[in-house]
Amino acid sequence: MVVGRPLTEHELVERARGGDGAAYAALVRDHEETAFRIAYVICGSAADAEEAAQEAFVKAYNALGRFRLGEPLRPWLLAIVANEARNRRRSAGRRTALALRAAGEGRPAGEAAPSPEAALLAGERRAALLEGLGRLGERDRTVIACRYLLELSEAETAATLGVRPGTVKSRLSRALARLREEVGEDV
Amino acid sequence: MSDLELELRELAVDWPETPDIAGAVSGRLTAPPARRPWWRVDRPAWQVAVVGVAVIIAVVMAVPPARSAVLDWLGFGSVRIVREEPRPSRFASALGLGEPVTLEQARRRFPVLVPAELGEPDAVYLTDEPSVRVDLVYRERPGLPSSSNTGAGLLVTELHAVAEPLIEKTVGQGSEVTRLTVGGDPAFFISGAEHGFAYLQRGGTGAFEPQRLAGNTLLVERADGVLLRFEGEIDRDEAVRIAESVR
Repeated sequence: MVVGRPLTEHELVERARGGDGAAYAALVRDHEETAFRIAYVICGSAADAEEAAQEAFVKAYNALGRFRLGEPLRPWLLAIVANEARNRRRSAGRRTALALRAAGEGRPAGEAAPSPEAALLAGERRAALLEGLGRLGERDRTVIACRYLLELSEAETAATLGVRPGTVKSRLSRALARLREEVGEDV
Repeated sequence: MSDLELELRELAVDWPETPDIAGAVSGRLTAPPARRPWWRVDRPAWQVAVVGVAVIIAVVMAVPPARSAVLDWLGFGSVRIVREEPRPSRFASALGLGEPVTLEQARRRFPVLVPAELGEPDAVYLTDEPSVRVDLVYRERPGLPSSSNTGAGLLVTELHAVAEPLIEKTVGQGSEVTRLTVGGDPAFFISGAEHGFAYLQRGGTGAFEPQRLAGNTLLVERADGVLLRFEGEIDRDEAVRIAESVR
């Protein structure tokens, strides 16, 4: 069959269901980065995150028959990944703090370059925020990472974490309050 | 959004490099996914035995008012059951079966399940639109009289269940809809007077094809996402027994 356009996600899912491994690999490629990062936030280790994400995508393939076509695929996949990452973290028995570093300059586009002093202060602030985030419990840091670092919508976050959207709201506000305490801010 | 939330959103994180998960995963895929029935996936034997036991809970629904109503609460995403008199079209006498194929060919496109009770079908048809659908036709035989609606002893239709309706059924006053579970999966048995039956039209119009009349029908929505439909001159127990024997 000649296809003159990239296949849609829907078409890829249908092909993957029929046993087309290349179609499934294309789906994994689209979601592996977000999946790996969520697993990293939960596990706290890149090696565990890689194993969890890999295992989860194999499980998702075998469960593809249960996926309802027409529903968004990303949160369905991410939920399987998050679940696998939690199981791995639990069975490892480790409570690894999460080490996140800030990347370069995170200033919004269009703003003038800050003075050296301002840049230093901003850099310290970013480092403090990420360190504070790393010290939070797994639930708190995961909900914050989903919403702000990975920019999932509230509905996607809820589906990924397997909770109701209302629970995401309340969990998020508690997590933000704890982060404020961690970085020494008054609430 | 508070300042803290804005700050978090603008944070650029130095994430560890994402490994090649797609490559690693594709090396680990073996059989096509849905071909492995859900009840065979690494479950202890006792669990298989439990789900294998026929659990039949029948709730016979009262005959509804004549006005048309969509029975959404029936709980099948793929099948829309409307309480109204069937409106069969004389243009819809054909069954709308797809291309005749072999069972092997059909299995390349769909994880076809075959009722062990009946063995291999006499004919297999494959349809691509609006979604992949396989029809298995069994000729009349002792215990399976020829149906005036299909001309066959039994018509088994298999498709992937979806959230949007793919099939519309109109069920009139003389028909009875019974709610069942077959092997733990939700099911409906429609019996009595013939009911109207139509597939979603191809081409994404959202409209249904002209209706044809259908006889006794059992619908099962399996946990693995496959919708099974059995139509023939069969009673409920026969239909359930055949449905439970699919492998």
